[in-house]
Amino acid sequence: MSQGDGPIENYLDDLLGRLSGRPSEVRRALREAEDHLYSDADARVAAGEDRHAAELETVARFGNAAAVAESFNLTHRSATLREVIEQLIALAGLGLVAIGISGLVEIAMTAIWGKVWVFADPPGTHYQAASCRYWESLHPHAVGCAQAYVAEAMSDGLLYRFVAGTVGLVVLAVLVVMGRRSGRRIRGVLATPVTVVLGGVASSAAAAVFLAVGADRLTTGSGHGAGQWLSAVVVSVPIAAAFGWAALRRIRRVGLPVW
Amino acid sequence: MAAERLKGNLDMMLLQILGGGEMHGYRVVCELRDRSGGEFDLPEGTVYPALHRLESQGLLSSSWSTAGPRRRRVYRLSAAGHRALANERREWARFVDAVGAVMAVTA
Repeated sequence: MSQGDGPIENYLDDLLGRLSGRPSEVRRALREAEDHLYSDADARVAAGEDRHAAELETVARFGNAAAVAESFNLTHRSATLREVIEQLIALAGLGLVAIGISGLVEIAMTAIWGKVWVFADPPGTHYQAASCRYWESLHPHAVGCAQAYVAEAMSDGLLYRFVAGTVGLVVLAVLVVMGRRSGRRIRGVLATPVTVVLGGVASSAAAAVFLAVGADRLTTGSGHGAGQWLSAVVVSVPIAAAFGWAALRRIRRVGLPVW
Repeated sequence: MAAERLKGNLDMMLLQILGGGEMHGYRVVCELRDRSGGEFDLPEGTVYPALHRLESQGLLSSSWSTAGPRRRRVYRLSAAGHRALANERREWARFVDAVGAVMAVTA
């Protein structure tokens, strides 16, 4: 087998210059092309052809380097785009499930500290008369507008959070089923650099905002309604910590990315 | 054979070839060439992106093999690939029957 600057080497140089994508994809494409070209040329030489003519024929059969490279590049771009979309959907599903879990935390907080601490507006909040009439019609046992509002905020708030959680579970279940078919695990999808960074930033930012608003309610709002924000903190902090831990493990394993 | 007609069925034929067991890319191309009696005149390099695409769709899995003189990527059908192949075979049989029935009637 001769591997000098013959037609195959020239072709591989041309192909390498045209391939794009992640280094691992480019290396793999080039290695497969190299294996194919030399295997085919060797077979032709073994059948009696001259080495140079065999390499020329092999290269011709492999196809124009520009067209082959474009075919590889298109495949890799599509796969990358699909992976990113899948990761974003998984993150959205996780976020929705977190909202649902915060509803359970709200129920626990309500049992411990009462509805007002979780759902009420700060003292002194004024409501329009039409709104009061509407809430009182929905909650006839409530005494006064503020109490009717708390009852309405509780039923609406819990309903929305549980609907969000259910939708999130369905999204994640669909991804798990699709992942089983394709051999990709949902944990792997949620542990990629894109999801770890996005999930970590989003959950940390959410935890900070919810904590700030909840703390404000505790200090200036007599605690009224603090629970609805702090319930979200209870859920978003562990998620932020989990993404932070995943990022730390990745940095320890492969080092910081070079931009 | 028209390249466009071949392109539409390339994925199915690759699944069929790999349905016989795992093999590396060059062998897949040789099988395609030999089984078609050299009828399919497509640029052989375009088979590899198709294999990569099928793998990204979860229908194939692959790994490097150092069994031979060169390091080679060996492809095999995944469970989803086996299901897709069974489905493609059914669809193809129906298509061939339908086209055959149409073409059998002479004007």
